[in-house]
Amino acid sequence: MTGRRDIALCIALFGGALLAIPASAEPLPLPDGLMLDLPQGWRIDGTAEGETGKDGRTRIQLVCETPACKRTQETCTILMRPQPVAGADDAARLTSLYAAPMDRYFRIRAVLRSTSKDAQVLQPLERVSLATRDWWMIETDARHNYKSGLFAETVIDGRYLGVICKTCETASERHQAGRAIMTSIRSAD
Amino acid sequence: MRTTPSIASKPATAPPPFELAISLTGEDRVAAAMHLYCDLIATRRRNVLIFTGIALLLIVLGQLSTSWGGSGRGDYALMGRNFLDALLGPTGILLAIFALAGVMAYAFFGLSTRRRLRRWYRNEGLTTATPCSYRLHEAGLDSREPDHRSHIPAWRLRQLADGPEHFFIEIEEVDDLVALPRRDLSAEQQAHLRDWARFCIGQAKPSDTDAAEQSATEPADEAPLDLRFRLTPEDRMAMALRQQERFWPRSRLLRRTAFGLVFALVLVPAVMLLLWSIDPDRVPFEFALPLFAEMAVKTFWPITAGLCGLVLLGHFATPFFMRLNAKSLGKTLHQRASDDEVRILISPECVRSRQRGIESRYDWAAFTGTERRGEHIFAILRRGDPLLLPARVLNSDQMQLFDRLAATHIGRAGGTA
Repeated sequence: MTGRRDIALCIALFGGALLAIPASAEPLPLPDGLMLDLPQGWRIDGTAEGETGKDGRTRIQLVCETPACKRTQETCTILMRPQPVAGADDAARLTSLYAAPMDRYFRIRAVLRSTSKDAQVLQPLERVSLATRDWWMIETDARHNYKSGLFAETVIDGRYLGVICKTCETASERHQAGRAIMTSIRSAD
Repeated sequence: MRTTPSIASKPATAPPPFELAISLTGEDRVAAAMHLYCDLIATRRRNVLIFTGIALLLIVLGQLSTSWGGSGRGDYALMGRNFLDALLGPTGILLAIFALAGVMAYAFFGLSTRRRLRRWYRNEGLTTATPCSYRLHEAGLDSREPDHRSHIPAWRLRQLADGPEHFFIEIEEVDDLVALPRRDLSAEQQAHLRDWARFCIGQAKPSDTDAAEQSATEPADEAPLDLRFRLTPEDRMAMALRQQERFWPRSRLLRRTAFGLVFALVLVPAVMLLLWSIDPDRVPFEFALPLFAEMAVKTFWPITAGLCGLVLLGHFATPFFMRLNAKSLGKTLHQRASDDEVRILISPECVRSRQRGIESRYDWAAFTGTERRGEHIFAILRRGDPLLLPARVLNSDQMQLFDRLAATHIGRAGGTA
């Protein structure tokens, strides 16, 4: 009996490990010569070219369909602007996004609004390095029954790229897949 | 405001002389000044509307020029649309603010003038009630205040104006009048006053008055100083400037500047905090505060600096504008008054002034001191506007004598008639 229990435990742990760290990722080309690695269990909701709204921004919806995501309902949205960001290099361009304190204020206000009423800032708006790229990142904590969010923006060769990931997860470890997606974003060439 | 009826209803016989005793308060002085300068006040009030109109026109023209100079140059429809859009945006708000401020300033001009006059009389210590008595007779009006008596001949009286709380006896071509508060007059006295006014006001000037005035000289031992002069616009300007500088002393100007600077410094943070507090989606304070501080320093510093600059400009330009205003006021007051010769007789007993029939006698006790401002000497009265002596009318001996008399007698109680 003890041996069976051990085997069951091992299978459970192994299964858990498989869920936590996707075994493989599928490259996904994005508009403007960018690409990312879509984690296993994630799919595109719509087309890879995304949908362009009235504001000219292209939105590509990514949805997680793993068993764990049945509870966490994780999604990510890739946002791309048609106009390039002006600046000498990407670091300068990224700095210029929130050089003005008013822009930072309204960014915080916008993400709180888009999270839920009475949402709180979990991680303040700041520059964060993921792999070799810097991001402006802010994380929110929604009130009960609403999705919390991870909002990040970067500039890749002058192209603006935003990522918004939402989850129902309430534990301290959140948006691992979202961060993995962000880390994987690169130029196709 | 009603005034005395025309000469057609003048009584055939002179009413018997009668006396009135009143207590002149600060409010009565304010009412008198409001009545005396009602034409100047009305002009300035009208100017508020004119300046507001000019400001609104300039804003509209500026916006039209901006709308015209945009990308759709030559496209009138686009220009019109841009202009209308601007009117619904910040330009519209600016126009509304200016229009509202102008209308408010116009509507409350009388109140604000009254408030300034009240402050002036309070600063000058003229709010305590002064007992005054008047004798109204066929030849005119004799008044008696503490240490001061005067006579106004009937032919110098212009009209009896009927205010809501006062009767005003106006005097021809002089910046002065007699205010009689209704509260101190019985119905019978008021009827007497009207009868007197109907008979006396508008009397022709007696033909021998000029000759009598010309020959009126005081014996040298009674009036060692006999000064004759005509007031110039510059003299009146000096008087107006003295009033303004007393009304806006350096300490008050500094206080105003300090308040202005504090206002300029707190305006932007206050507006940000106000907008933040009413915003339903406001960012938590711990995140907003450092950003607001950074905004105030980095983003909105031109507003704060501009306001501080305006306040400082106002501070340093105030003396210049005061002078300019006094000059314009002096000129206006000079035009309103007649160019009469003023005669001042100064003796150890009293100071007398004569101006085309109007005579005043001040005991030395009526004065509190003298003040020399440039080319003008002001003999400061305990109750009322100072007597002005242009320094040009006194030679050095006369000046020494005046100084001696003033030093010896000013503030001295008593004095004979």
